Amino acid sequence: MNKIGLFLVISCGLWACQTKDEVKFDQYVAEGYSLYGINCANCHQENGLGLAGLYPPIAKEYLKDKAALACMMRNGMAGKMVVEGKVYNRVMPGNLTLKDLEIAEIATYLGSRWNNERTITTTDSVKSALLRCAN
Amino acid sequence: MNNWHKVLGSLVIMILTLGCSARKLPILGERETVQRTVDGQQVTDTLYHTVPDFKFVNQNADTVTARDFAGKIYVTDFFFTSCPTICPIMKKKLLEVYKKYQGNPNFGILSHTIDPRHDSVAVLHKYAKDLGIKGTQWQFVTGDRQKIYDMGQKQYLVTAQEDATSPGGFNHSAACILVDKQKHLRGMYDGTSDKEVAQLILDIQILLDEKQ
Repeated sequence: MNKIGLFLVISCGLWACQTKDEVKFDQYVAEGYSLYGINCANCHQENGLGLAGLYPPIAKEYLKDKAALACMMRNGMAGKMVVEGKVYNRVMPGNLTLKDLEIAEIATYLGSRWNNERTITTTDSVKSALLRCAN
Repeated sequence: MNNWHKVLGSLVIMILTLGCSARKLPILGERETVQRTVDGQQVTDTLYHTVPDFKFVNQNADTVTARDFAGKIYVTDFFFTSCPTICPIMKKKLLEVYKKYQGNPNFGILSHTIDPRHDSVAVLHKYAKDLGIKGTQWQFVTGDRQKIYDMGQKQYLVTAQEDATSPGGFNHSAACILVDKQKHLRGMYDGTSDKEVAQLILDIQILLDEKQ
């Protein structure tokens, strides 16, 4: 095999490693990680385990429904909440300053880190979810 | 080197070592000196800033005064239960301090809410319970709003006030203040910093070991 051929094979290989979607996914996860640190980790902790009976952990059961997750982040929540079998009852303040894109990035990061997801939560899906929030 | 030099050398080393191991904590705040006459001799006394008496109500609806901390070392801070910013971190760090000295009768923690309108006794009770605190070694107190702010600003020398522009509606410092048995302020630590809270844990032991 000549050198040009080898170069082509390697370039194709590299190209295949990172499709456009995967690059975007990685960007969302990276942005989401930093936004999580600023907006969520104070209470839920960097490791996502929460704090004693005060703040619940980031739990899989609440990560599946991304529309509900988006509404939670934007509008906050109040009242009793059962997380991994434990009852929590404390107000989570909403975050009105988070942009749709930022909510999408945080949702993508949460799904990737705590639910082994490899797909993006799109800004469009967040936008339409936020129009239909219950509260 | 003759013997004298050796003796002198070891003396210097001894003094240096002693000086280092017996680290003393400073006394913070304004101080004034007063002259008085004792047996015809002029003596100068230094009066240090001393935390005056106070009266608040804790998570069990019991009255808490300075007398409850008589002969004790305590760490105090200002927070509010619905605080979304630094309080959860401070509480997590203070929980480490609490666990380190849990059950020590000469040590306590006093956390003041700066949002007494919301943080009633019932709210503080639930907060303490959810944090896993039993008994009264760690007291969460509420009371007259202005008196709480005055204690913070004038006595413990930290920021604690209402501020509509801050997240959650209050502006307060992340400081944990270390108070000794004589009610003197002996240290201020950033309650969100791992390093400073580790130092606080060490300094509490220094005060516990300190002779009267």
